Amino acid sequence: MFLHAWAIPIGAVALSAPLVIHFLTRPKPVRMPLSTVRFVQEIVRQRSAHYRLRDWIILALRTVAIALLTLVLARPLFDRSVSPANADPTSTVVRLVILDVSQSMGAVAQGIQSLERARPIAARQVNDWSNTQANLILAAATPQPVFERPSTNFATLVDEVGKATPRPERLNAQQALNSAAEMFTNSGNAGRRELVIISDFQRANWAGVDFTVLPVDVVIQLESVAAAETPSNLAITRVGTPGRIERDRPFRVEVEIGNYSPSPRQVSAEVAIGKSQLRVQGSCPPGQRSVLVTDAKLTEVGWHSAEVLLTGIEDGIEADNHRSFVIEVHPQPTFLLLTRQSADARPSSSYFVERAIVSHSNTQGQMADKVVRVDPLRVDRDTLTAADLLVLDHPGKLSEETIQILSALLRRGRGLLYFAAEPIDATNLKLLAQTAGTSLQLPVEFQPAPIGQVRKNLFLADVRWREMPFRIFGEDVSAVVSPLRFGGGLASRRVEGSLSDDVIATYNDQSACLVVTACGAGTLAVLNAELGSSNLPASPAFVPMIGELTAHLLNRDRVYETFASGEPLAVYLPAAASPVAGLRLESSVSSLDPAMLGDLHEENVGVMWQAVAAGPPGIYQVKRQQQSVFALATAIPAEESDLVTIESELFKDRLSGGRHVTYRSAMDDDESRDEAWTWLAVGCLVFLFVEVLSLRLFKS
Amino acid sequence: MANQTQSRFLDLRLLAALERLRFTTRRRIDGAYSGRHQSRQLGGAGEFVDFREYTPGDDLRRLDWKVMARTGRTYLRMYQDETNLSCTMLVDVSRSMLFGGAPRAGGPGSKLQYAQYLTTALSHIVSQGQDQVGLAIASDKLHDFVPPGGTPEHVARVHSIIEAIRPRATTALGESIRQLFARLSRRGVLLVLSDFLCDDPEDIFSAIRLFRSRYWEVVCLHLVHPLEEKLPTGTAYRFDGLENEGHVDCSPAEISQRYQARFEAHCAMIRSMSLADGCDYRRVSTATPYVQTLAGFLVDRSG
Repeated sequence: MFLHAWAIPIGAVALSAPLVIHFLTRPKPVRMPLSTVRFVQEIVRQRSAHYRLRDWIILALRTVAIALLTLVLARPLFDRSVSPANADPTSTVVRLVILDVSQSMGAVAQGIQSLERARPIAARQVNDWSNTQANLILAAATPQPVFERPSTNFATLVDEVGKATPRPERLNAQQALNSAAEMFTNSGNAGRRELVIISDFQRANWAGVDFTVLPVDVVIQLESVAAAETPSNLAITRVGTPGRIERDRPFRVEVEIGNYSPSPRQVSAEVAIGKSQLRVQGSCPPGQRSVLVTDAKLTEVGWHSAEVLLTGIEDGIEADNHRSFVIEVHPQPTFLLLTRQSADARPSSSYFVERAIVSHSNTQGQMADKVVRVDPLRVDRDTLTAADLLVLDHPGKLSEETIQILSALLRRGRGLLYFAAEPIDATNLKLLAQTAGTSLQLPVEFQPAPIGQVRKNLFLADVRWREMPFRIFGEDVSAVVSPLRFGGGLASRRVEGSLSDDVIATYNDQSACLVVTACGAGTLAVLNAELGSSNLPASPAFVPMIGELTAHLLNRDRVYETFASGEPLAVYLPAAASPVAGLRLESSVSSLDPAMLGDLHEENVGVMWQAVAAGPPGIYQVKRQQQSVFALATAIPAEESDLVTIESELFKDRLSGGRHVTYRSAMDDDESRDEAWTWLAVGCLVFLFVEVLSLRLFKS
Repeated sequence: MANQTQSRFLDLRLLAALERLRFTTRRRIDGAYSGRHQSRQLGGAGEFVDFREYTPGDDLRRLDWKVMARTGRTYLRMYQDETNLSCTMLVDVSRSMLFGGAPRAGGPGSKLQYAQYLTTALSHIVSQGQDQVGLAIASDKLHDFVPPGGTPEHVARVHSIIEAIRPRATTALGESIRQLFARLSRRGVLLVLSDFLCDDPEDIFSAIRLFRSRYWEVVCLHLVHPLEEKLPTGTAYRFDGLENEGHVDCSPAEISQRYQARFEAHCAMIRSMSLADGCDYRRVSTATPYVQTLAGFLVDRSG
């Protein structure tokens, strides 16, 4: 049996090559009359036996050399059965082979790829065995069985083993086991059931698997193809541009590099954004991830493709040394402050809010954000739609149309910061929640304070200090918030079944101080306080807090992550991308099946891009005509870069769940049989050498 | 003697350097006329050489009367006669003698052409020495025969026959020599110009032995072409036989050494057979100019 059976017929044809070559390369003789031709005839006659012997030897050597070369390509398989010695040879065997084809199987150790070590083992296991039905499951992010149920079509299985290549995906081992379990269940109870798993058994992928999903009688054989010594690997595990990137404003590019080697490494990476090239350098301690940072600035609004490349690196996996990412450059945001308060009224709540927004952008040394103050009674649809962030402070009663527009904008991705200070704000928020429907579920219901109850001298009793906007204060958060005293605002009561995590801060009277909740693609933040009767505006925490809130609502703290290849993809396009008609998907990955790009469909909150599995690493764009309306990058999951393997004892002790598990490493004694082809190759060379020697011996 | 031939193979300007050389023999010979060669006959004229007792039947004119008067015994005076030379040139005209007929890069011509030059020049020199020259053209049989003669007309005829030689398909030199032997009644010198490339050299020499048994002086001029001595270089050649021997495909590089050894063995065999039969042997390479070859031959023979 052979791993590459296709090489056999080719080899059979190639065996005639020596004769063909002989006839094709036979020189055309020069004719010449010769008086002493009888002497030549006599010598040739005498030597003909000599030449015939030589020719036969050379032909035999060449034929053997070609036969060996054919065997090198065909890769003969040797018996490596999982069946124990006492197994009944007449019983039916259902054997499933899970072949790990995740990216880590592309790691090269000692010049050999892990998948190349796995290939002959897998081919042997799915090959022609009597009374056996077999199936092959190519396991990566999603398991892909070759057949729906175990089959005796071994030739196809071997062919699939031969064609398997590492995919830029992580291994979802549990899903592969689930698939195998389902297949075992469907195959009935007849005969013996064997599961062979051929993998490098990365700790990151296998530490949490649960073998109990498999039937109890399944005999499990684990074939490790990991190198005896874990190959050193450096990888770009993440590239991010935190925050909203705006035109002509510097932004930060974070390159996270994982050093999966036993020694610290000095790394250098080139960041290519459009036409500009940046370089980041730094040191990576062993076994850790380091973030290298550089600043960049873009002048054109829209989507930009970018790539990071590790330079001067030779490691186990070459594919994770570069990573693509996308950057969306926005124009400078516009803040729309809806308030009935006069701009000249100072101090006033709206004045504090406006100054906080402007001051925050100024403190960062950037151009001050533009704040447009509008009376809610005079606001129109265009004004609302043009704003990037809506801030409502003392808006009074909002009209039904305004509520509807705000609700729609929220669902489509806009941010809304509501300073709830007046009783009418409770009504506005209630109407807003009703209009948004299921898209908006506030964790609390705001209500006007009961008559007679004066809300003053409230302080923060519970603060989720790890969350925005308090996280920027770090461990000093208590020192910052304890002097704060609040007045005004609304009473609130918790809504059953709501997400309590959305309540960021709570007053001492258990009413909500700050609520941040998602609404469709947008976010609603409600700061429940009358700023005019609170000392918050006078606190040094006010500007940073408002800055954090606005940044969050503007998605300025959003990190554009790359998507993992092979994983299910579902992402809402920006509101501006609607409608779906006229949109098309494009990929930077050449020769990609268009079906793998997924499809776009309209949903309540916008256009959703959905794909069963994100494509191979690269840039994917949604375009309307020639303009990109959305882009994303896919990359190899970071966990595939860590090639540390799980200890074999863990399978038997913890993970097996009482199943019979045997563990074998391809790097052990059986490895020599796997490498028989190298000896065949050596034999081929030896025969060719002997041929040359024979020719010299015969003086030809 | 005025030469009356216009043979294209006769270049008198080249032969002018050889005008003082004569074709001589190493043995005494029989001749029809008196000449400058020692005759096998010890006659009554010429230079005194010895006495011999009279035996009945001897010519009484040669009796030394003075000795008989003094001693009472009868002795004959012996004188060395001088006679002319009768040289017969046998030219092998088989197709193997055509080898080298298409010389490359100005090399020598064919062996037959070389033989034509050589025999024409030799016949001229022999006739200049008041000797007689004859010609036999042989291949599978004796095709043409001109008995020895010395007149200018005879020599011209010899030259014209040499000029008109056409090669024949095969070689049966032994039979040709036997036919020649049957047609020659007097002793002389036989020059055999051949490449001796035949299946059975022994047959040739058995025929030559007939001449030797009649005390002919036989000279074997073995013509060898340089391209016969060494095969050409190259990877693949098809050698065509010149005498219906078919062809053979081979790589000269593979058999070059063996071929040279085989050819040298052939030449050595011809030489040893010649010498064993008392013939004079001379290997003549067509690479050597025929005048140079002829001069060397004549000088060697003059002793």
